[in-house]
Amino acid sequence: MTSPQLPDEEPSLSILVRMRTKTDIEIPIVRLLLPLASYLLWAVFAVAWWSTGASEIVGNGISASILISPPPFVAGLGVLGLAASAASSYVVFTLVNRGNEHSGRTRALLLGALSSLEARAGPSGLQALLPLNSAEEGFYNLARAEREKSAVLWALLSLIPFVGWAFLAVAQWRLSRDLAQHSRLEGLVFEDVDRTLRMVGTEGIPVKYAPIRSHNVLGITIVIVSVIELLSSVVLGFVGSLVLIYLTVGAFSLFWIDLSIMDPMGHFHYHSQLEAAMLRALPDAPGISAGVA
Amino acid sequence: MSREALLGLKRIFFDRIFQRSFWTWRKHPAIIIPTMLGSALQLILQSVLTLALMLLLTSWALAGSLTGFLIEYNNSGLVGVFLDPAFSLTLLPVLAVALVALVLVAVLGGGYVYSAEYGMYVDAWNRDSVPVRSVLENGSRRWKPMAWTLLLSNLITWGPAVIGYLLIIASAASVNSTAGLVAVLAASSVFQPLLFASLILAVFTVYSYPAVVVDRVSGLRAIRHSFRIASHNLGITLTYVIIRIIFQALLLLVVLLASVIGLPLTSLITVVLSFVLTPILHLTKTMIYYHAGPSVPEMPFQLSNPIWQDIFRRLPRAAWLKIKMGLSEGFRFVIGPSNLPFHILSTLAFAIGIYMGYYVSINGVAGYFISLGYQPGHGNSLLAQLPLPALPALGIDIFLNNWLVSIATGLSGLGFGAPSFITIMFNGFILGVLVAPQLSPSLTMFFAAILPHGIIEIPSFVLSGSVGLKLGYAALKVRFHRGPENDEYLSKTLRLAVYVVVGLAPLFLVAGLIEADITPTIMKMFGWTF
Repeated sequence: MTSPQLPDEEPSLSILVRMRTKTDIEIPIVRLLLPLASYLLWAVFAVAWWSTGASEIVGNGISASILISPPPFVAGLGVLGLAASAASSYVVFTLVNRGNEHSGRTRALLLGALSSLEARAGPSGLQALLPLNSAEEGFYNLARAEREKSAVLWALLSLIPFVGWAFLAVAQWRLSRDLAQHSRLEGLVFEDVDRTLRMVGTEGIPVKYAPIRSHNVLGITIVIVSVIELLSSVVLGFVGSLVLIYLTVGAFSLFWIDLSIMDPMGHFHYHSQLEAAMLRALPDAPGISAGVA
Repeated sequence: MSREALLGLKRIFFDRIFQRSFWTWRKHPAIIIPTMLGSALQLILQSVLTLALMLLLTSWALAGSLTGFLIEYNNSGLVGVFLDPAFSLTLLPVLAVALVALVLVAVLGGGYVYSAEYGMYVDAWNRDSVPVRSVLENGSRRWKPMAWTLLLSNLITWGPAVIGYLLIIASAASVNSTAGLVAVLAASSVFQPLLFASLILAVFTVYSYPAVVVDRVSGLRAIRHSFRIASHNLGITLTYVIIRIIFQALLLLVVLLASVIGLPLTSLITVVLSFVLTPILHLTKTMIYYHAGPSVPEMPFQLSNPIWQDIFRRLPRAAWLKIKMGLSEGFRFVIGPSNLPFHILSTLAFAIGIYMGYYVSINGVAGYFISLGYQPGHGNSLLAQLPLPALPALGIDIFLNNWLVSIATGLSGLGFGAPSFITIMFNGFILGVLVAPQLSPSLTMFFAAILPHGIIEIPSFVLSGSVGLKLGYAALKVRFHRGPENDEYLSKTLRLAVYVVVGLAPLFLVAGLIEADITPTIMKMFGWTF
């Protein structure tokens, strides 16, 4: 039909650099409205469901009829909520997929660069091979440490009503930590690539330390607040504490989505400068084909 | 550090495989044909039961004992019928034959369908073109190993749960005594771990079918391969399993919530599951297994085209083009003089069904329905309760349900035509039951309820039966006179059958909308109440 069969070979350096405009994309901040709508709709759903008799679940044991066939108004809200959750999970998909594609492209780019450098470093002697070996070791560590998270899985998990917000928070936390780790490990490889380039007599690349925050403090805060709210069930009751947890985790997750949208932009900008310099230093040469990242 | 050391880091990326699976599904629409064959297999299984039911009812009606059977059934249930030698002597042999036929058809047919399905996935992944012919080639290539694997895999996976369930049933028979109660409690407590064991086993046997086509192994070896790949790649296997469960659970939730507000979406979700999700997810599973093989390199980094834009913009157009092609193929099939025998045979099946239904209806079944509370001249009151905006949705639900049945009817013809014949006959049978004077106050009222939509729906069903019979004829030719010419004829007929049933979609859509929105009004005009 429309899409050609995907090739089984790694693309060249110049193609990988050109892919940057598609992998390192800016996600419009207005998309934050989608999870916000989902958050509000499910909150309204919970209130409506509660007010139409679901409280029997707590008082008199689970009322099967209210669980299986809620009133039409509540069911309508549920359908709307699911639609909003689907839109929200699309945002999660975009964020996780952007992280995966950036990391995947960087690994392919680095492997291509290392292959190219390997071919050039031979005649330059031991001085170039030392930083190259260090770069390869750094790349090995990067490739071993980076485990892609399935964007499809996290998007679907965050689509689950109510519980999905916990998954959403976990997805954001893992995404932030992975990007922070990626930034740190790739920085080490870039430094060695720069040193190797200078050793083989070509212009280096503008390496600078551009870390991404892992937001561990925010993650730990969410966990602590949630535990406190769970313990507050003694005062508020079990359902009250669940509502409070939903409101807190949801609000924190919305804030975190905002951070995840904005955080990598500096890193992407840095890549745009670095990759242009790398391509100048290592133009595509016939016969250099990469293997598998 | 050498490149070989870096290559040792081979990983399998779920999203890359999933996205490529989507594009493979888009590029090779033929890979949904085995899924269609899967629904045809379900219909074949149903037709075994419907044939048994029609034969039993008709034979009892001919012997004049149908009313007695229905009274017995009404008073003492199925157990009472089995204990009465007047009925059990006929019933038991028919049921035994039907049960054996069901198991054989499920295992052997399942072997053929899965062999075709998973073989097609491997072809589609690695080739530029996958013709309809490869359904038959893949189906006949490994159907025996696949059938054996299917049987063993299901026995091993679900055996523990079934044993637990049987224990509960067996102990429930003596629940009135204290010992019986203890037995029920013990069986219930055993059932839960057994069910859990089955669910865990299901994760590890998930690659059994792909193993048959990728590694060309069967039975226990295929299951062993599946265990090995699943345990070595537990993360991606769990990802697959969780994604599969969430998709199905969410779709179920949508159906549930929508049904409360009067939107029937069951058929729509069935279509999405059968023709979109199942092929893509099964393809993903197959390719996870394929890429887990030591000789297959890691998938290189590639950018996939955005899926959502394709789903909303290009996919509907591509589907419409296929339907248009189906319409023109269907038209040519209808007017082709060489197809006249199949049209006649299909119409005959329908007519025989009507006659049989009418016969059993006037000989007891109609009276039985009335005793159950059926009121002649009173339509389905659910129609009156539905809000007006929900009626088009009901129409679409009816359309998709009928379309799925017609797809299954057409393609089930591959079972030498008999399932198509029986299905069309059963549709006629139901109509025949309803036409009996006890159930229809007048013929005018009957026609008012059937004709508005039936004038499109019935010929469409008969047409799907007709193309199924032609497919059966082609299968018989291959069975008894194997040769390249007959193989080619079967491939062409299968392609024709697929296009014809796809092309019937607009007709069923119009019929479904009429049935939901217009027929009830016409029925009221002719004296029906709701």
